[in-house]
Amino acid sequence: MQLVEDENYPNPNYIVFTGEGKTELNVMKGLAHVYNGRDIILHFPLSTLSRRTGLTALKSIKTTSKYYNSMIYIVDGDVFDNIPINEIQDYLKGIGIKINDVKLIREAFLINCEKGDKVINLYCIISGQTFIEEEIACLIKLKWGIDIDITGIRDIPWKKRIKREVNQVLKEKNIRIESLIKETGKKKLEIAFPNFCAVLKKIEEDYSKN
Amino acid sequence: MFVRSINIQGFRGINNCKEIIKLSNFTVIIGRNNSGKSAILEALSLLPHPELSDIISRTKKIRYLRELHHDGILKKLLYLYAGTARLEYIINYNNADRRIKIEFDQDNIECNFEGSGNAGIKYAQSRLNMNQKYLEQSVVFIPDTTNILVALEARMNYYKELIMKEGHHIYLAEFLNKFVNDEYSELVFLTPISLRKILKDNKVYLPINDLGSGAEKVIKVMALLKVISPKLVIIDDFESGFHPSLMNLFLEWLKNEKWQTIISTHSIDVLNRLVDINPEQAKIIKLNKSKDDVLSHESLTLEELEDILNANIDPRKLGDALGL
Repeated sequence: MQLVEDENYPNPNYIVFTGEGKTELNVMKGLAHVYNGRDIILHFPLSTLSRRTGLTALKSIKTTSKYYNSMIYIVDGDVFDNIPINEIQDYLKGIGIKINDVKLIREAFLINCEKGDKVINLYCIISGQTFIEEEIACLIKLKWGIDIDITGIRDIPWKKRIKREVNQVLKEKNIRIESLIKETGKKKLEIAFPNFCAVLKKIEEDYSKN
Repeated sequence: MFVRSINIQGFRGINNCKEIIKLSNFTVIIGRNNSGKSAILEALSLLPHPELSDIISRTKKIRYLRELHHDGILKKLLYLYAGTARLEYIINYNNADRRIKIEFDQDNIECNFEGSGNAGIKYAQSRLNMNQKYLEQSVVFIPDTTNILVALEARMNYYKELIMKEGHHIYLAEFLNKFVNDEYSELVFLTPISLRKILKDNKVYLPINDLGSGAEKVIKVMALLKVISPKLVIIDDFESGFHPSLMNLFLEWLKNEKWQTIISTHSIDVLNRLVDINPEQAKIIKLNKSKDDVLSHESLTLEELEDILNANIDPRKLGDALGL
């Protein structure tokens, strides 16, 4: 699959959206390249104005379902107070989306749902226990053996520290996350980004079968 | 709302519209370059009659348009420079909908009000029950060019007594103070029009055209709109030359005025701000032009726009991928 941000690709297969930010885009770009890099088109029209909105991002389905019936939603782990799958289902029901079926894909899931007469396949990727930088820290450990300490109380200063340390390593190694992912083997990526990879693998497998 | 809808055929880069474009009281038009945004605004600028004077340039609207971007040649306003342009509008005036058709080829211009033949300005006056002055003031078009600044200054001078009488010269200086680091007390009608700047032990007069072009444009446009109070304000490339703080203030100011506003923009900041200020009856129209120059559009409500922005989706990119 390949990820496109802009509009000059006819008939993209999936729209990708997030209540988070640009890191999710860069991670997805790298991973899409590793998983085939062609055929399936993921459209990630990320806005330059980043809003951290968590589950509220799901409301966009009411509009984007006019254009797409396959979607990938990326959300940080710390958005959830309870069991993510339950919270997401409750939120979707609350905005008038009918849920037909839910399939687990590792800790990600595929929700088959309906909005009006549109049937939607919604893949939900939960990144990190708290946020995506934990997964990048894991990749850094696997790639270079550099430990970023992710213990401690998971509050805002903790998030800032992890983010800063991750960025520092990438800066020292003079590489961006997208490029790092592109030059890393699938095995390591599947350990670092288990939910992302599980979803992308499933999408590729389904595509190959058809 | 003054103009409810527009349909375009054979005008500028538009062969025809797939569907009639329904407008709202606060309409924001987005779309790629060359998707037809300016063409729609220019078509609207001909209302209510193409042979009336444009309120800023004081030349006939149709002539102003062809001089604006099209070397003064009428046929350059025609699709592929030939044939007939047909523009059809529904306007609402005195609680009644009226259909207006403007047609022109390279030689002739006709304007029909529903049920009429080629209707002159006098006919328009009687149908809309407005004298010529009010007809001319009913629609203001601000194209994306700094060439209008001189003409705007002339209009300010023309209306200077009204501007002073109604206190707009102070209001506008105070508005300007919100987005610049200087402090001005009032506009003063010197030659050129100036702002009185307050210094610690002194006061100086700074020509308004020494402001940046964005600030100059906003102050001059606001002065004009304040005194003529039009029915419809059309602004092409709304954010052009604006710092975001000026853009926010101007957008909010427009929202609070009673006329219909139609703008085009490429700016995500404008869309983001629109959600925050939440104008009544606002809509976003996203244009797409096919290879054979058929214009299609999608409309988004403010609620839909907010949902999309909350998913960090750029609405300018949405749907293009599907050729919508």
